[in-house]
Amino acid sequence: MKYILSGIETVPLLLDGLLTTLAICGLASILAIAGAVVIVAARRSHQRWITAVAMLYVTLMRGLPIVILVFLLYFGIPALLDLGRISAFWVGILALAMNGAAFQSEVLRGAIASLPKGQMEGSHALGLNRFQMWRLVLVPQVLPVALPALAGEIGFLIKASPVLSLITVVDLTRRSQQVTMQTFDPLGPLLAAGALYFLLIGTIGWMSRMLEARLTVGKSR
Amino acid sequence: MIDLLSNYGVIILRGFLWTIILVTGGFAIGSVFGAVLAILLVSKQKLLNWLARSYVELIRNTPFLIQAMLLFALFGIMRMRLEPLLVGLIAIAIYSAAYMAEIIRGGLASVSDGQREGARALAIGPFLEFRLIILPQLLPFVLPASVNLLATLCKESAFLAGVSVAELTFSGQVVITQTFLVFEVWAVIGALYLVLVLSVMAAAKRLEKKMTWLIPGR
Repeated sequence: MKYILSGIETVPLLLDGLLTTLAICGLASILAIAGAVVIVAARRSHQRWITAVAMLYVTLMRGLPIVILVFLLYFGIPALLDLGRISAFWVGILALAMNGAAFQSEVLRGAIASLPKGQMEGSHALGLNRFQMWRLVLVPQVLPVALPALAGEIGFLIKASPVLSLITVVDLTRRSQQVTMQTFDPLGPLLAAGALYFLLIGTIGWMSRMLEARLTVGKSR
Repeated sequence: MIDLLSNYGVIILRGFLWTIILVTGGFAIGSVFGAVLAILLVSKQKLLNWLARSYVELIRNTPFLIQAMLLFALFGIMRMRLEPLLVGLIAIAIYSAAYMAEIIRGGLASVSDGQREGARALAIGPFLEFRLIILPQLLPFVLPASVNLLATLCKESAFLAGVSVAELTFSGQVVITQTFLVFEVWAVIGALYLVLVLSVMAAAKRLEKKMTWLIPGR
């Protein structure tokens, strides 16, 4: 109980860590979605090797722990190429985005696969070009299916983001450890950080469910 | 690379084995608790239901690293000196119980009420009802999903290196402090995780293919 009170007291000290975590997750999510679109496009390519590269990439990202990806990018590659010091903040964002893009691309691919084939054939019959087909016919149908799941994936991205604290980025997790060092309070700051993560991830999850409820209204499925 | 493997391969291999032990052990314990939680999640007892729901939501909406750190801090203030590997195992069990509970709850929800009513009409008793009617319809859904959870656990367990649990990622850090072969070590560790996770995921896929026809209504 005493630690819950001390935890509440440390919340103001954690706010800059929270801001860093928000910035990391915001930037990484945008990059991840952009990357996912590229991966989906690559997987739909008629060039066999482009499809193969995209599939290999997704498999690698699904099989590799985010911790190892971050260590490879932050410690491994710079040591191999003799790059010297690189920004932990940006490497962390890159790693989260690379990982997120693979998972988001699976969501998008699933949503596109859920469309009946007649939609494309109909677009062709109407004489729409590829861009018009995607812009006017497919995307408006893919988004309602994909958005809730994409939001869910952002929740996973936030849950993975404490990995940046392992490479010295002062995010919410590392900030809570710093406050523990300063105040000699072993539990309070961690509890507060946990509560903030819970609010953040819970809000994303709630938004995802709201989107799902809102976007499937009036659809017979 | 040959030098690295011949001189430090044992350390890495030990870490690899510990990762497997922690994940499978934690998963096994977590599955038992997850099953109990799932029953509470579908029970009509308001208080128990609410407690189980709170537990599941707390675990599913917080990062695994924070959970592990909290667990270490808790044992610390209780003045309990536990082996870090054991704390790591408990952390994985706590984490997997919540996800397992949701998987089993989803499976239970997929069995229609008519099945239960039919079983009751046959008056075969609750044990046989579960064993003969519910379980066979539960497994095609639960088994592939839980093997997928196992793959996720293998990946999440790497976070335990952040709290000094001597698993695979931690063994990589140890070897690097002795050899300074930064890239080579992380490449080897990464390859080991890839083999582990992808083979578990392949097993899940196989199970899914084998069992989909058993799911009613497909």
